[in-house]
Amino acid sequence: MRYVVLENFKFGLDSRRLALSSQPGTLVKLENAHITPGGEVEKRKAFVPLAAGGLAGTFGLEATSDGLVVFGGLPVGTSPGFTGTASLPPGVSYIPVIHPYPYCFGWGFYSATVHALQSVVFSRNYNGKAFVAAKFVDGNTFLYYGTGTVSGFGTVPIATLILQSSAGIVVPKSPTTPMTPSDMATLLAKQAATLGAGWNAQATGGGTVILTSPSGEYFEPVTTVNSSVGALASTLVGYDFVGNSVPAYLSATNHGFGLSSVPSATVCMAASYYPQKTSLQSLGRWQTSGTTFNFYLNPSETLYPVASNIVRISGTAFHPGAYKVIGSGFDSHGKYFTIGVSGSSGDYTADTTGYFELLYAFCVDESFNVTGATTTTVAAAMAAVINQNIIGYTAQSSNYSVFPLANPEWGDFRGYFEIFNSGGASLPLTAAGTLNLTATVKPTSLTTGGQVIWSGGVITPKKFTSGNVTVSPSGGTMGTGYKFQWRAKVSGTPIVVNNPTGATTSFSLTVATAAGAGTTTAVYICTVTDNAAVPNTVTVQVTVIFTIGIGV
Amino acid sequence: MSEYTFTGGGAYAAPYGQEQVFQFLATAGTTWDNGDTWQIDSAADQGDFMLGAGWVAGINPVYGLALAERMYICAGSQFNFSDNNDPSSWEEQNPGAGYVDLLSNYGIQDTTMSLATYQGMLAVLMQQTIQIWVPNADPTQMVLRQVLSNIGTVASYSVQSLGDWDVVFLSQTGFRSLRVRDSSLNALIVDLGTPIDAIVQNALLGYIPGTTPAPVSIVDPGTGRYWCFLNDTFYVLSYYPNSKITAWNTYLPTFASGENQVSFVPTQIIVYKGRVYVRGTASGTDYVFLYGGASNNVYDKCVATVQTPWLPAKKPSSNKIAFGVDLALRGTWSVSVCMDPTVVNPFSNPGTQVAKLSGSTYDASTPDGIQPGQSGLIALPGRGTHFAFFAQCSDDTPGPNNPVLSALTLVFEGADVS
Repeated sequence: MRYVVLENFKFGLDSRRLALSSQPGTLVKLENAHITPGGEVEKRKAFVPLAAGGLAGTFGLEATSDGLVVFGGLPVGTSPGFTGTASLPPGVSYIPVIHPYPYCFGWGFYSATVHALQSVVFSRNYNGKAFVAAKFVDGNTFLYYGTGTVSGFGTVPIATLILQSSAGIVVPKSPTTPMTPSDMATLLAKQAATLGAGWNAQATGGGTVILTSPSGEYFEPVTTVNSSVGALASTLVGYDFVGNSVPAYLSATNHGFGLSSVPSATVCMAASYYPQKTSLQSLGRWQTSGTTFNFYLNPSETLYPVASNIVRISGTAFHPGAYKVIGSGFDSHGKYFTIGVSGSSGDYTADTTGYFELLYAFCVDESFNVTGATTTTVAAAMAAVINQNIIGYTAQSSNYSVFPLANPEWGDFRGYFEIFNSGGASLPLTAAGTLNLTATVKPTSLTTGGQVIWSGGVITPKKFTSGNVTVSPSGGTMGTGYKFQWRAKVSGTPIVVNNPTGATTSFSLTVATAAGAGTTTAVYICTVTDNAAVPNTVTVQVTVIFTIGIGV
Repeated sequence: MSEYTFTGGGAYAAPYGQEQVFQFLATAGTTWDNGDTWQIDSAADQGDFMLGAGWVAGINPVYGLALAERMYICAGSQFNFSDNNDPSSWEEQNPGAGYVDLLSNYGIQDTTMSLATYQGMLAVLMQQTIQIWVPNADPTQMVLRQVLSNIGTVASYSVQSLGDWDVVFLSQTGFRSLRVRDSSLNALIVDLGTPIDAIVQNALLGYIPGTTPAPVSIVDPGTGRYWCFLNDTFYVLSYYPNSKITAWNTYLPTFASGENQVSFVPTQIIVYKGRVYVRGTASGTDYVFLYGGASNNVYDKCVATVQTPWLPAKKPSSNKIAFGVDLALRGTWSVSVCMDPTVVNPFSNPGTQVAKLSGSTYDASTPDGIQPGQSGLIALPGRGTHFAFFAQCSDDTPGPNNPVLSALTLVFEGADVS
């Protein structure tokens, strides 16, 4: 007897030689089986469906820290949103990937003809989140990373657009209309806002964007356009602006409060802090009750809602100020705030699937004890406590009066300042006296200049404009507002005040002849008047210098 | 208690260094067109920046890779990389971001197809060239390490790193790999897929990019096997250097639907928690499949097929008289043997089946010189110059009793031997 023994199949499939002359250990066919480390043939395992179907309208597949995900071009629950999430295979979730135009301008602009997701070119897991290259039916491919909530798309996270991948490209607004210059300006402002701290960009309508850099940062933009009809203009407006502000104060008439006598017990003060914008959902939960609802803070929460400017979001509709805090209390569920409909602008009962967002509404309060022998010392002590302990507030005292001011950077802040007697008795409060009117101006000098062109014995007239100066008054009696009046300290100067009755102004000099060149210096005075029956005034002054050269 | 409300606040205007106004304009009566682009490239004291259509806007990336705290993408003739630790930032104002135009480093116009990690470096695979770059957190310190000419990939998603020392990819001639050549750590192209080049080249004839499904691939972390789907078949590499095994096989993408096996077209393969998930389409319906099922031990009734080449028993010109065949196996297998190498398709006729076996046939009680039909040995009457074995298995028994074909023995006498 003779034997042919095939001890293993370690060479697997091999088509290099004819089947008639291949070496032992190779195979002509090895299908649905593989070679093990021991050289054996082992049948493959099964491909087991997680579930039948359920993936219609989705693309791709990626592993993330949240599990397996697929992608689609429609948000969840927003008409005509994707409604198939309930039928997704178990363990698979859905991430909407939205075309940049509806992503940036609202789902109402979605058009399947030009904004539908066509395919996921590739996806990758980066640090547990999905990085996606998505191709849309308009032919463009854009990048997305991670997820987040976007205004107008409800509370279900959608893929976060990497704005840099879509910036600068004109995409369809609708099947028949490209995005407008105004749209482009909006997107430029969005992208510029990401440049870093101190950069600020604002689209002001009509396709215009004002971009400001941090103090001390200067830039030279060069614009490039690839369009047969479009253009992008760039104009330097000014530089070295020092900022301006109007602080918030306690009273429209006297800015503070007074003490009519020394309190019988310690005076305690509680001040609200810098406001934050936070959704109620992140801070607690609510319980409906008739025409109002009670909002219960999480036990660990140190923030609390104040009474105004609650925004209702229902679907894609925003209703600023639709609700207000109308009471508070404490029950077995914890501390709560009763929130009710403000006027007839909304009805929370229709918003069971919406959520609420408070703008400038959450504040932290701290209280401080103050004592003193006289109304003057108590007032002085209260001002000192505010200045030393309450971040963002400054205060002055004058005799029996205290004048707290909120940080001007808070803009139209409407916070609270509480004063109470620790002994429980009423406080001996009265209207504040008048704080002396004062004013500052920044900067105190402006230097600017440039060059006019001389050609053929003629100067081409040119207007030069300085940066801004801003006068910041305080004290006095504001009433309906301070008044400003700018004038030159010495008449006859060719320098012009561009906003002669405003707190903020710039200055201009027009040079039309060679004689107008050189250095022109002027001092300007601004008189600030308050609203008292017998008006108080205060003046500040600014030195303005134009240095103009002549070029050819 | 007295409660005062602050009032009178006005809009805050922050200080700034420079105020610049940009205005988008259009010729009267017109507007910009779809596809138009604009860009603001700005030199600034504290770092230049770019707004609008910069380095990643308007490109059409075909592949991405996360490597060394960055995302890398390739498009056209360049690859881009994000800022360090920030895959959302890709422009000039992002210090670690940048791009490399590969045309500036190699003279032939080529198109990037894929990216892979290779010994901690970045392998950029184009259609005709492979470049190996050394990443650096500083974009100016990115170094081109090596250029491998006249080799590339035709399928972006066929590219997989095997560990960190090898990269397997589908070239226009078959599967190839990058490997370390010597202590210099330079790479060379290895004809890893040569044994199945003829098969793959034939399959590539039917692959039309953009029309037929794109090849997709994965490395199964449980077994280390490389899978690549091309046209209608998975090509699978079992590579075990310690066992000196480099073996290819195929899987047909099918799944059990009742008693039937239904074909599907894989469109995406990923690894999640050490398991292989495949997204595929069957009859217009998309599925996500888990290879091996939840228990990683699910088998179905797909037919595993094994066919040997013609075996001459070292005497191809001599006639042999077969007595029988012994097999070491597990599970239920149908075995056929053919001894006539002139038959073009020897196993198309079911009548060639020798036996249907459920377990090995070796038997210690079987004496030497046993005659066909006796214990153990499977009778195999026949005469010819060569033997070819053919075995099939649709057994779905899970492990540890899952189907395995380990070895086989053919017993014969030489008819032409006097």
